[in-house]
Amino acid sequence: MTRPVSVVMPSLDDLDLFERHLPALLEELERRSGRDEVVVVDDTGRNVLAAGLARWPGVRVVAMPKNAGFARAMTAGIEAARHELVFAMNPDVHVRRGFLDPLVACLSEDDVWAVVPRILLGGRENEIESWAFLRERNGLIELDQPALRGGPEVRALRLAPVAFAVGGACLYRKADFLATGFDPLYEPFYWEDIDFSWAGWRAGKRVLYQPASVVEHQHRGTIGRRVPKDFVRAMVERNRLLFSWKHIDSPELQRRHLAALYRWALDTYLEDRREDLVWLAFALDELQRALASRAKLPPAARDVTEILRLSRPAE
Amino acid sequence: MRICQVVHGFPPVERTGVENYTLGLCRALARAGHRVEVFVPRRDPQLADLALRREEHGGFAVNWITNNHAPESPREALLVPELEGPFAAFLERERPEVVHFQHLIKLGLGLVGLARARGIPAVYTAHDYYPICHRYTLLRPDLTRCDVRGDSRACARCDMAVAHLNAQAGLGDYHAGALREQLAPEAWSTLEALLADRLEEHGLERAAFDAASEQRAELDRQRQEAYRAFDLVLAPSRFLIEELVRGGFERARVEHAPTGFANEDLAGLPPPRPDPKRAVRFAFLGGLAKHKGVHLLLDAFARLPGGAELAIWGGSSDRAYGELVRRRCGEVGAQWRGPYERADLARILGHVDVVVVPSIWVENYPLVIHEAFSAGRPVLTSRLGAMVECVQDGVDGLLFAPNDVEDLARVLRRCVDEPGLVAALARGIRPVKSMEAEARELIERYERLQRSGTGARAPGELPESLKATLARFEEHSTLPSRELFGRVLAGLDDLREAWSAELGPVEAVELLASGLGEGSEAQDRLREARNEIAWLRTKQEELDEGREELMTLFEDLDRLLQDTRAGSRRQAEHLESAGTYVRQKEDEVVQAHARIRELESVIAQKNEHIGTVEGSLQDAGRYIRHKEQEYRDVEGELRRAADFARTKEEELRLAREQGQTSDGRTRSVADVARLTVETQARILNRTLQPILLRMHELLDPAGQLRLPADGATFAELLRAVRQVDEGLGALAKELVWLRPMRAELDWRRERMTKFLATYERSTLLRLLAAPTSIGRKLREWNAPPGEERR
Repeated sequence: MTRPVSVVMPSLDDLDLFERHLPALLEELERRSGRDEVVVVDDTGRNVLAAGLARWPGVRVVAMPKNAGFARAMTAGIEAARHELVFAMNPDVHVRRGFLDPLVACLSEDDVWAVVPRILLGGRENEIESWAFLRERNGLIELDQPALRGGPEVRALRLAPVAFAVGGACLYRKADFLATGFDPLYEPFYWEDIDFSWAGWRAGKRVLYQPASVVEHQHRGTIGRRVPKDFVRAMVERNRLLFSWKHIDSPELQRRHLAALYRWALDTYLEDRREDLVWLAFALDELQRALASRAKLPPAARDVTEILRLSRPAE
Repeated sequence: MRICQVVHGFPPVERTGVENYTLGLCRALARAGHRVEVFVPRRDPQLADLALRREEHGGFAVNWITNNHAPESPREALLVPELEGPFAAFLERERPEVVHFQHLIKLGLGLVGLARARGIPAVYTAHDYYPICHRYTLLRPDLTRCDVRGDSRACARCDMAVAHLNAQAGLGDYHAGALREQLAPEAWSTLEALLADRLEEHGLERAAFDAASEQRAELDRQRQEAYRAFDLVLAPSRFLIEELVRGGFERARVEHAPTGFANEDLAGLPPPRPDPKRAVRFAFLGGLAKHKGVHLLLDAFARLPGGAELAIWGGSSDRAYGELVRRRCGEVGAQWRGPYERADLARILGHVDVVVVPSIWVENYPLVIHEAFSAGRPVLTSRLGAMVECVQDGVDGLLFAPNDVEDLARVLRRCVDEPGLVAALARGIRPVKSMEAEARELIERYERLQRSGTGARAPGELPESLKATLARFEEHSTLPSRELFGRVLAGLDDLREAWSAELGPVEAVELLASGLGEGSEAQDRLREARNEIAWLRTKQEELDEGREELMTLFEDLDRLLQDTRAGSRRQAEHLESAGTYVRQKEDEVVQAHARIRELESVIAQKNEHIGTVEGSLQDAGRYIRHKEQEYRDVEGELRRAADFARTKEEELRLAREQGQTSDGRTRSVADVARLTVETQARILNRTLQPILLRMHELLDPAGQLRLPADGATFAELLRAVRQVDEGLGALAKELVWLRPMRAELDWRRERMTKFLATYERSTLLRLLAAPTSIGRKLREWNAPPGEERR
């Protein structure tokens, strides 16, 4: 018998998204065993979702006393989850039939830290959001999503390691999550899911991409429609740098990273690229917190270079 | 506070009132601890257009934007779109918290919107009438004061009058207007007619005026829109506020803010005219422009009996007027001193008792009056505009009727004749507002605008968890690039320090060198830019060469047109008729061309047909000749057979006569002869039939074909041979008809060739025809074979 799963969805007042995507999820859970559950975390701080979600009696609502942001809302939801396996998802994700079983099967192996389905951006078959990696280029760590570049990506048809499980739709173990958690360094949003997966890789575990499980990300910009676009972009860049300063661990990479940052700063200043300068200053503003987070890291089973190598599929 | 001052000129490049005021203000703001960036255009042919150079000036920085393009129309004077991109980039880089425009001339209206679009409060100080008068003086080009506000047609009359003055040789390269004595009578008369809207009297076109009015109305609309965008408008005098309100400004949006002066160096000079027996030393200081009325002062000084000196200090961009003043100085015994530096002012005023400001325009808040007061010198000025607010008649100076030489001479004479007057007026001078006080007041105004939240990004419905981070981001976003860069470098040093335990000691410069060793985008772009600049320069040179050639061509054309215009009416009519002729010829050529194409097509068809017919005829001819030979052979045989038959008939007759015994033999010979004849006739018929058939196909395929029957007699066969003869004759006639058609084609070719030669020889015809379809057709005709369709 398949293991039961708690689906945890942090949300702001996104009732329109629930109207659109929740029925497919509930149908799939019912088809599986009927033992799964859905936990919606109302992060509006105003407890506005419970009334709107009452028409689906199986859905449990956990209301945050005040708006706390994605990471804290997710943690609250997972704490409230009744099952050991937790499927974290965003309300703008539309699941396809049979999406959960292949993921649960993957997590039956102990050395698997997290597993992510084939997430189709906008439901388009050739745009796979979860085929996601990190790479180091000229001393800087970059996000690499080759299946969003438009070309065919045949490697994404197989079960394979990925650098991280996209937080918008992925399966974790509750115990692992609560033991490690999302690092508040990245608040209010972005890169906390990458950091969590990275913790698994550092501990000697694996993060997998399971193409047999398919969900659609009907992207509505849940964050982007509430805050300015330039701020969202700055958050992505800031947290990318904070991640680097927390995790880069070899003197050689540290040297190249620092050299790249000096060069970047000089280039952007000389070229009047203010936006980049703002990102750098915005990130450096949080440098001490990144260094504090770095100091708390447990000993690593693998270093950055090895993780970067292992977390990519064979060419 | 980060403050941007925008001004049309700045010392040392330009140093009249507003420019010097802005310099003093920048210094005072910097002394008060504020960061000031000045954005100012300048001409510098050594630099590329729109090149930006930033210079540190002890506490503040000046950003010089190069603009070598002089406006050539009212529109270009008011709108300078090319400066908008550099100003936007400047605002992005410097992120000022307030932008204070001291003027918009040479800068363009568009800059105001760029500041507002970024949520930066925009302040404007009206130093003159530019917001309501594009000539900024409220003076018309005949130097009379304009009393009309908000009438685009009146402004358009000024535009046309200025254009008229610009066309007058010897008036100088810059002028606010013309004095009557500077213009020829007819030119002055035209100027008056233009300003009085009596265009027709001077043969001026009403349509041109209407177009100028429409353009001016549109520019006025844009100007009003731009000035409405300011968050705050300041006016140093109450007089100016009233004028702005008359010009359409809302009274509530304009604040009275007398400007301050940085005249500390002028304090402490000895009092004027300590010895009443000594001559009174009058002086004029300022730009030598007609509307400053220097010529009036010189005329009034000439009326003084003595006991006075006059020094004229100042430079002029109106060279013609400058020369006039200089010459007049010599004539009336005044001293021509020429341009001076602001730093020399204390020394100059130390040798002056009374300063005269004889402006004929409604000065707003003349700097020179406050300089004089700062130095303790009384002022004589026109009873006009804001000068009345600055000078109290009989207290710290004297007023006289504007543009009135006699009245000006009267007040000059009072200073000379009344021994204690100058000293008494000097004692009546009130303290002048300092630039420090001005800076304090402005900062209060700037902060008030900031507090009112002008342009701040609307927070919208923001989740609580985002607010603090977004505010931090906004704080970084509003920093100038230079400060951001400084923060980034400091932060990177912290990171380097934090990692030093693992990394070992490493200097920032070492890391930077290592980073640049990996490649630098800035360097790559610089290289690209250099290459592009080199390429652009080459192209520029090519363009310049092309432009020169074009200019030469234009000049030639211009000369040609002028020659044509200068010609008699007959020439014009001739030209007109030539035009008509050319148009007719164009039609004819078009028709001829079409006809020629048609005929060529027909001829080609006929040629093809003739070729076919000729081939057939040759075949037929050869065949007929062959058959004729056969016919002749048959005829010979027939003849021989007939002879033989006749011989045999004769022999038969003789035999008949000779007796019965020879009858049987004779009959047998006759039978043989008859059979032979019939055989020969059949052979001839077979020969003729295919010939007749071919003739029928060639000449009359639709008609009825009659061939000789088998067993036809020789007479019938001979008729058939005649039919063949007739057929050959018909074909020959057709050939005769086609020959003249070919001749006509050759004739038309010859005519076209002659016409083309005429066209090539006649420049006028070519010029007139070039842009028309005839020109194109002639070029096609003239093109080498195979190219005419291109």
